Amino acid sequence: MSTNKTISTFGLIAVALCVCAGSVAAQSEEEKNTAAVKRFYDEVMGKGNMKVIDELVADNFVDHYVPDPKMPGNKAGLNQTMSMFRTAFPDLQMTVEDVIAKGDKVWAYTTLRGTNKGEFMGMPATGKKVEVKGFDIVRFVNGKAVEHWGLNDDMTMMQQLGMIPMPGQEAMKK
Amino acid sequence: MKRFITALLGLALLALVLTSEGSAQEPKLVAKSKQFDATWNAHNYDGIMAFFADDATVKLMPPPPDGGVHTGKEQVGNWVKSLLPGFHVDSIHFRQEGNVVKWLFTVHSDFFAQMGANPVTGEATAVFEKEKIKSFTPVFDNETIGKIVSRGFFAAFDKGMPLDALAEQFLSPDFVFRGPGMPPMDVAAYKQFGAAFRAGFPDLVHTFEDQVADGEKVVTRVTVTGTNNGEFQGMPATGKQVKFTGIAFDRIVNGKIKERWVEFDVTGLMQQLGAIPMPQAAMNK
Repeated sequence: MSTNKTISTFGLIAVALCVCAGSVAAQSEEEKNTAAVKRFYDEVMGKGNMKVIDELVADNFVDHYVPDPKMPGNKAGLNQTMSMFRTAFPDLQMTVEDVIAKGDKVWAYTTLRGTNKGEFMGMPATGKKVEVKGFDIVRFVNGKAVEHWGLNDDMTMMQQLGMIPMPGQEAMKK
Repeated sequence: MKRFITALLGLALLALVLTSEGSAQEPKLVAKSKQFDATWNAHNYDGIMAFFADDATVKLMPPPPDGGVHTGKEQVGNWVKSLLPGFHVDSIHFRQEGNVVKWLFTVHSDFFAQMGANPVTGEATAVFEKEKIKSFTPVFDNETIGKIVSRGFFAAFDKGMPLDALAEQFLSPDFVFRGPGMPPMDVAAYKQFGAAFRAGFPDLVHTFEDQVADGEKVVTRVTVTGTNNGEFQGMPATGKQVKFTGIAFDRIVNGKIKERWVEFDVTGLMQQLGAIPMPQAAMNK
């Protein structure tokens, strides 16, 4: 009986292993890259686990979109940018609204949510909530991010934070 | 585990065998269609033209702005010539029914590269009559069309196409636009938005940087440049040059843009116009 049980347990594990191997084999480079982008949003941005940056981002990473122009467009700058966002918005959450992975690039369309509880871009905390859309385009080589382009709706963010001196804003809103 | 992988490989092989065409008893017109594509790949203009009947018609689907119908050797010849620079076709899945041959194509050509849709993919249908092609209809697939439509919109805007015509050609009647810090816009509001940019930046140009399509979704990344030579959003002309990034997320249905979600660097634009302080200045406040 116990032998039978052992065998059936072993059999189950074997089946499980096979299923895993199958799904890993079936997971394309595009799916892996998409998973890496989502992991970046969840672990780095959502939890502030900066160590994950090393796992997901290559040392020769080039950032073509740096929200704060004082930060360098490289991996060190990415670290600083993420720390800055985590300080400013400790409850930061990224939601993927839509994602396309083709070839070596992942295109993600996102919503960023958070409460401004810390200093942001040199300005003191406002306690206000933000909810803004953005795009990230990330190019991967061997499973690591090597380039990033993007755009956040920083106009809306600054409106929500009440930070913008806004000449022309009335016309814009029309 | 090894067995599992072997089984997977076996399945893959079986699939290959099932989809490959038995060349032994290849239908005559399939062989001819393959020669037709090989002649294109050899860039042999006279050779290509020899496949067409004198009164042959080429009909592009869905039709481009010029109608996409080319009839007779002269028109067909011009169409062939427009595609030949940089031309290469990969064709698969040929099948013949009666005097009709259909196959799937992937075409590279400088012509499509200029539209940013290189390569284009789709299905070709050739109707033969007395072993000549009487009609040839390439139907481009949705992703190809989507890329061409998204880019085509910006290119036509830059060329100064009247906004009514632009909307008519590229936007579906229930079009919705969402942009940074703005309420959603319908066709009429989006035309006003376009008019505001045209007035403010008469030399506005969208330079295409990157594009991807997936089903009916198309995302296009552009760099926008222009000179603020007119009143913009209530502000007098500054004469300043601006350069900013834009990303457009489009949904293309039946060859028209149904939804467009755009982010562009509004803050950067306003800073370059001097309408809001540069980040450093804001910080010193």
